[in-house]
Amino acid sequence: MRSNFRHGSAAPVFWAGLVSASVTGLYYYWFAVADRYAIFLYNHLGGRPFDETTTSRYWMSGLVASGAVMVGYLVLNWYAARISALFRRQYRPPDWRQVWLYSALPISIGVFTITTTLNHPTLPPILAIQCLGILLVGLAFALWPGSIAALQPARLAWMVIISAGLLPPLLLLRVIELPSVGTVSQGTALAIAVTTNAAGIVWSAGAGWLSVRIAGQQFSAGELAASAVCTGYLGLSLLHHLFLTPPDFRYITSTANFFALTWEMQLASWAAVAGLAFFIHHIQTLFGGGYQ
Amino acid sequence: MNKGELLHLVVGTILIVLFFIAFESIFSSTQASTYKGYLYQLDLYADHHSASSHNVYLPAVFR
Repeated sequence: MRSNFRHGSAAPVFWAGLVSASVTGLYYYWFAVADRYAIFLYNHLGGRPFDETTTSRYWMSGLVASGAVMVGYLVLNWYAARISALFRRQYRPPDWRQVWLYSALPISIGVFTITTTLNHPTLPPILAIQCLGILLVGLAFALWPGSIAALQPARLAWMVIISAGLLPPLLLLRVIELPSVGTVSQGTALAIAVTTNAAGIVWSAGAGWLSVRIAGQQFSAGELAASAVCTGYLGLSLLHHLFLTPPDFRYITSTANFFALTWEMQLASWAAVAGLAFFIHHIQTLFGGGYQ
Repeated sequence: MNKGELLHLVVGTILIVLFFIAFESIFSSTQASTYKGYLYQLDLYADHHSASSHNVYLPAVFR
């Protein structure tokens, strides 16, 4: 992901400490303190602690935690920049790669220890490592837009608006495989996939054109795709956890709400996102006359 | 003190708060009513707080 900013001195170790403490605290709550029957929905529809659905909830905890870090990190960086400017000082956000690197080790030790030793049942080491891997990938996406929020919030807003059009291929193209499990009919699935994806193409192309014409904001395909991942996988899984669950059961979603049932369909979704991101970038280049 | 930045700070804070309030009021209340409706349907609403948490009374729509 291309970075346009001069990264500076805003102590990446401080931010890494904050991120590490937040993530390990969250995992400690989910795995050691909270009711597993509520957080991971043990017993719901016959769910067992290590069946396929519940295992996928453990995986998704990494994306939900990353979503929480992303929201907090964006808001804090935005405030840090605004408050610095208020007193006519310049805020230089830390390089997200440094923050990620410094927080990776404490988070790895903390999350692995918590998930494999606390409460009952503990996760088998291989499952804990899988969860950790997903968490670390999610955190990279969560930290990446922090400097944009601090230095160019309007650019971040345009990026989110444009990449909203990439969410249908990311999250809804996969509905065409749902008739195979009897969730929806063939006709309904096809209608949902076609209409939402067509709307997504029109939306992102229109917003991409507007952003380059009105605000002079042009984005690389990588930035748009990464933004869609941040919104679709991190933001929406957090939104699901906080707002789309009943009050007594603030549970973590299963992968079935976000990912395809088969690898072929999943790869097709990601390819569609990449293709659309390149298309939008091409439109912006055509109408904007060069990268800014 | 930079007054333009103060305005940014105030407007941004208001937008952030409104954003969270909107999500909370729109989505949470819908989910809560779905959940309560389901408990009523099962005739469990009155005593679900005293029931064991190991009995998960959730509609199948929640996944």
